[in-house]
Amino acid sequence: MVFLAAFSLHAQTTCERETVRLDSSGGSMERVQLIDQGDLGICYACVAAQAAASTHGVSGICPLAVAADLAAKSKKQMDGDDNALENDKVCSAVNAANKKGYCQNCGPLYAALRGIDGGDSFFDSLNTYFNSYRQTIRQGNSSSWNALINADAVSDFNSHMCSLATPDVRRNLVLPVRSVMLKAMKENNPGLLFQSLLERACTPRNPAANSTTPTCRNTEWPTRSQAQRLLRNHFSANTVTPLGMEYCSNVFDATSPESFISTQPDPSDSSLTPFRDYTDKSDKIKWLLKQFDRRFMTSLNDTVSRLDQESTDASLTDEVRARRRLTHDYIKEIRDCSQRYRTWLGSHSNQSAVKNMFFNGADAVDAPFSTIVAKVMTDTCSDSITQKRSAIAEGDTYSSAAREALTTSLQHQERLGSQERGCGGHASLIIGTRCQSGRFQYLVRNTWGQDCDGYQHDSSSHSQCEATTSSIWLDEDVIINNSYRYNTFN
Amino acid sequence: MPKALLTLMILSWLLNLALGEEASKSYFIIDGRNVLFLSFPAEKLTVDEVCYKNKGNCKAILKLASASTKGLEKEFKGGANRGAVICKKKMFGKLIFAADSRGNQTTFCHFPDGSLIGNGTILFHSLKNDKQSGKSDLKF
Repeated sequence: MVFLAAFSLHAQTTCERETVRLDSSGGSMERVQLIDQGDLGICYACVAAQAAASTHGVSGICPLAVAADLAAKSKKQMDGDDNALENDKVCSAVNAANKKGYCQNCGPLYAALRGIDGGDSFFDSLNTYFNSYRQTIRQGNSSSWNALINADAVSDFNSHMCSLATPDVRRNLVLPVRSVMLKAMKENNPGLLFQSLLERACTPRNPAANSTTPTCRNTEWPTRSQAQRLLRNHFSANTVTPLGMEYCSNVFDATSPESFISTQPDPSDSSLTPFRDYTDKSDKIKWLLKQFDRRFMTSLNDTVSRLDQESTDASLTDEVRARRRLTHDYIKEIRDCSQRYRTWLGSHSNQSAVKNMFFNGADAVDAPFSTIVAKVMTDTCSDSITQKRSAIAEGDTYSSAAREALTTSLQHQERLGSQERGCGGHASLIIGTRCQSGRFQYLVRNTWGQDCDGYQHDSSSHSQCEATTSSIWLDEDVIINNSYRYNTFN
Repeated sequence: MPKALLTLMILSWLLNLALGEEASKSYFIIDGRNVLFLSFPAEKLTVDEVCYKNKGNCKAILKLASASTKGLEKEFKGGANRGAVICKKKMFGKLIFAADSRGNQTTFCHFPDGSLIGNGTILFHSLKNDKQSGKSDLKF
């Protein structure tokens, strides 16, 4: 019996599979060079560049140029202190680079930038200057951009751009011509400027424009079982392509398996992700609404059910039952109205008015759930709620149930707010799989250089860092609990 | 276990203790020069060889005491190498891109005395310093 039980446990925990490594001899990642993104927030572009290099059988593609192509295509703006190259999605970058063609290396400008600071400060300063210069020049006499961006304006801009650079960088700056400057200013598109600066490294682009590969498909917010299926099915003996993963990099700060397995804000729900790390505001709103359902609506539903039962409880007096019915009606009104409003928000999350309500043009709002609740209570359903509220006798102790329901829901929001800040949204490629001590593990190729010192749990049996390959083996559980989006390339 | 084998194992263990931890060596090309780096996994330390030999005065090691992640939350965006961010913002070093002989990239933090330290080292000790009230616990 004991033997059978032990065997059964063994069967449940043992995985059986061949080790697959795409960076081993003959694998699609064998020749693809390791990247260290330095202090530039371009992990998404590093993943896109390496996936494309793997598809096209080349050793490297410039991630910075990939980021510039996406910034130009999407007319991306600065986000707070982050320049337009930073923070985006892997598949968006792949699609933009396919359209524009690929830069095989980053060229002399980036080499010069790398020699001083990795480029982050330069691009930050340049983006800031672009914005202020555009505002200044718009105040000119003409309403026509064509007239405003004259030869003097271009010269003025370029000389200031040179002043932002060190002598070494200056020597390698290819100054944008007037047509580029005009288009960038007209479209308010700093990405075009960045693209132009890096273009020398992209001639000819190879693969050329309108490449059909790789294709990139997102799997968003998978459930635990979906993520497990995706990971296990992706890697087989015939696997050719790496798998992209967007995840919380704070997983690497944990010092023990117990803690790194649950670094995601809510480990009980593997389909969640911190809304701050979504660059797309519609995605953030979808995530918020999902949280709203789980945390606010669930709490209200529970309260409504409880009051409904109590209002028909035969052991209570008629008077008490009647009072509880009134409280029930009050909370139910809030619940129903919240639900209607939530449904409306869900179907209008792409509208700028909705985005502005949550984010007010920046990502600084700390209490998005309160925003919804406030809207329901004071605006959308104000009249009907007030009506129900006034029906409850003044000083009725049972109205505290309503306050309790709302307070509990808001406390959930506050706790979530503090948890989600530490995620450290990141993207990497998964390039292999193996079985280790009966557990599925996956090889994550990071973009932080050939270095294992930065991984706090390097000595854990649940992970193993390889300095020379910039990679780290992680348990399947760790991957699933800390990732929020996967990218499949073909 | 044969007595001779046991004795050999103990001798080997004692020898390791006397010699200290074995460093792993790797070369990176920086500005066309081949630079030797030493890594001590247990200490979570990767520095250039010259710095290690002169560790009592090496800026890269001394500056680790000021390494911290505090106040940099906004800077850690887009999966940036956090060690690289701390290098520039807290330790006032310069970020240097190096490559191995196959073109694989790695960044180091560079200080005015010429010393270089791995950004992973910086991140590890920053997090540790933050936990321990700003004191580095490197032992030499």
